Amino acid sequence: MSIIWSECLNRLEGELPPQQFNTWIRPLQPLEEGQVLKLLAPNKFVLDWIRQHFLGRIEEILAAQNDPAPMVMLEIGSRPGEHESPKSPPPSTRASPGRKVFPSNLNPSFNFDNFVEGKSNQLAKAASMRVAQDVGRAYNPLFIYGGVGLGKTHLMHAIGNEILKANPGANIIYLHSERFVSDMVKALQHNAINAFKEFYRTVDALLIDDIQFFAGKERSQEEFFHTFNTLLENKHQIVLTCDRYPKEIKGLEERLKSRFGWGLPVAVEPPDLETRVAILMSKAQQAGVELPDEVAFLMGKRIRSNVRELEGALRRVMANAHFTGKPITLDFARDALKDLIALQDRLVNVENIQKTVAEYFKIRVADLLSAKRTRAVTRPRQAAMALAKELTNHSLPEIGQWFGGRDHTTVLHACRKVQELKESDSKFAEDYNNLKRTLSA
Amino acid sequence: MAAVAEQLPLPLIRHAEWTFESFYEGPNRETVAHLKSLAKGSKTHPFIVLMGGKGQGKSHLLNAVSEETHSHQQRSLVLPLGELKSSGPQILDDLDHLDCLCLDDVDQVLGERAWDLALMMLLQERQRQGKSFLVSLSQSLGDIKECLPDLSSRLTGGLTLSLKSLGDEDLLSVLIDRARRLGMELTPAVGHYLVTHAPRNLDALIPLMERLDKISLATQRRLTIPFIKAHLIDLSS
Repeated sequence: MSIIWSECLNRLEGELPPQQFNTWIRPLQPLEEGQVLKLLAPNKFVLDWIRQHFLGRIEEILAAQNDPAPMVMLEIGSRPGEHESPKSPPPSTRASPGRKVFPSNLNPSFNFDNFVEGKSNQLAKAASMRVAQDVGRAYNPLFIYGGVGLGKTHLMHAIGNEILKANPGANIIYLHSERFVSDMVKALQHNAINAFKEFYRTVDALLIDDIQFFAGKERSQEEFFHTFNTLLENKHQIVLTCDRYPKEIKGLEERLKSRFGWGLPVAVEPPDLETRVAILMSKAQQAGVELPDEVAFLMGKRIRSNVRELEGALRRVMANAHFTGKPITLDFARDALKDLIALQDRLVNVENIQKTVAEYFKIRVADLLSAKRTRAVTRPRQAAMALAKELTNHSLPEIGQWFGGRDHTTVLHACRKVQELKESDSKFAEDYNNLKRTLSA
Repeated sequence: MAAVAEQLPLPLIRHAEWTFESFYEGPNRETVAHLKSLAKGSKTHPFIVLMGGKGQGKSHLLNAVSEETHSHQQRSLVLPLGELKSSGPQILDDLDHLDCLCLDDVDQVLGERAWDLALMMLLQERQRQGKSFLVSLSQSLGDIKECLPDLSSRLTGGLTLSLKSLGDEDLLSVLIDRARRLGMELTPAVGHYLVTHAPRNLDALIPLMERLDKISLATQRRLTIPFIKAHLIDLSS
C-alpha cells in the first residue's frame, strides 16, 4: 500500500469511530501516480460521501505529513487487475459490429446433475433438459412457475450452463427481470436504447428470472414484448420463471400473458417428504458430510417450506458439527435447529391454519368449528384438518378438539378424503397446495 | 454545600476498536469462529446471516470481519443500513465486486420494495460470484411480515448464526475488560452494581460506564457504588 496513504489511514483510524472508518475510509484503494494520489471508491455513493464528509480532512492530513502535499483525486473503481466484475457490460457499450460473446451471468454451480428430482419437479426438469438439448425448438418459451425457493432459478441456470457446454460460443444471457428494467432505464437515460434493443434481440438464449416483477411497468413490458417477438421469430430460446401461472400475473398486459403460454408453462411444486430427504442427502454428500437417514427425515419433516430453507438448516447442522467435532445424531440436529423449529411451530399452529383456510374459502372460522355439514363448509374444514395433521405435530384427538371437539376418527376421515380429492379433483389439489405454500412460507 | 471544582477531562479516550480481539466471546464462541473463517475468505459458508438483539455486538462483529478481511489484503465494506436508509437503495449499486461485504441492520430496510429488490439482486450476484457476504438482523425473518418472499427465501439459504445473550457474569467480564482498555479503574463490586442496576445490554452499559468515568474525572471522585448511585438515575434517563 502507498506509504503516504498508510500514514493518513493511521491518523484517520485514531480520529474516527470504527464504524465510520470501516464504512467509508477502509474500502478506499490508493493509487499513486507522481504527485497525484488517486483514491478509488467502491461505488458512487461512497465516493460522494467521502467528497462531502472526509475529503477536506484527508487533504489536511496529507498536507501536514508531506511536502509537497500530493493532489488527491477521487474515482470509482478498483486497482488495475483486481476484482473485475464478470457481469455483462451496460447496454450502451455492448453493441458492436460482428459477433462477440458476452458474459452470461450464469452460476456454474447450478446444473442438472445436482438438481434433485422428485414428483414435484420432474416435469419441469425434463422440459428444461429438452430445451437445453434442442435450443429454440423444443418449447419456446419455456415458462417455469411456482413458489419461492423451489428450484426455478436452478433449472434456468442449468439450461444455460448445458447450452454453453455444448456450444461455448453461444450468447446466453441470464438476468433478473429487475435488471432488464434497470438496464432499459439506463439505456434511455444515456440515449442508448437502440444498443439495448440490439443486444437483447440478438442473443441465442434469453433467460429472465422472476418475470412477475414486470407487473405495472408498462414501458418495460412494451420493450420486452418486441424483444420476445424478435427472439421467437428467429428461433432463439426464451426461458422465463415466475411465481405464478401466466394468466394469474396481475398488472401484465394480456398480449404478454398470452405469449408466455405459447410454449410450455410448467410448474414446480413444493417437494414431498421423500424429495426433501433426497435433497438433504444429496447436499450433505456434496459437502462431504455423512447425514444419517433419521436426521434427514427429521429435518425433512420439520422444514417443509422450501428448498432454500432446507439448505439453510443443513448448513447450520453441518457448521455446528464441524465446530464441535461431534457426530450428527438426532439429538444433535434437534439442538442445532431448535430456534428454527420453534419458529416454525410458532408460525404454523392450528389457529393460524383455521384462519388462513377460512380466509381462503371466504367463510368464517366459526363455521369451521360449527356442526354445519354443507359442502361449502365441509371441504374447507376437511382441508384445514388435513393441513393441521400435515403441518403441526398435534395428535389426531388434539386436532379434533381444536375443531369444535370432534372425534379423532373424524380427523382421520378428513385426511383420507383430502387425499382422495387431491388425486381426483385438480381444483381442490391446487387450493390445498396454495394453502400449504401460504402457511409454510 | 461548597461547590465542587470541576476539571474538564481531556478527550484522550480513543474509540474502542471493533476487532475480534476486543469482542468478548462468552457463549458465542462458535459464531465468532464462523465469522473469522468468513473473514479469512473461507468458501465453506460464504453467506452468513447474523441475528441478535440490540446491544449484543452485531455491529462490533461486522466491523471485526471487515478489519480482519482487510488485514488479508482483501477489500471489504461495512454499510450500516439503519443509518443510511434515507440515502436509498442505490447505495448498494456496484458492490458485487468487493471481496467481503457486510450489511448491518438489514431489517431496518426490509419490507420496502425498492430495498428488497436491490438486496435480492445483490445477494444473487454475490452468491453467483461466491463472494463473502455478511448481513445482520435484529429480528428473525419470520417476524418481518412484509419482506418480499423471494428475498426472504434467499436469506434463509445462508448460514444463520444467532448471538446468545450474555449472562451477568459475562457482562461483568466485558465491563471490566473494556474499562481496562480505556484506562479506567472499575472494581468487580462496582461493575456488579452497574450490571444489576442498569439496563443489561452492552449498548447501554458501556456508554453509561464511559459517562460515569468522565464525571468521575471531572469531579475528581473515584468510581464507587455511592458515586454511581448518585448519578445513575440522571444518566439512565
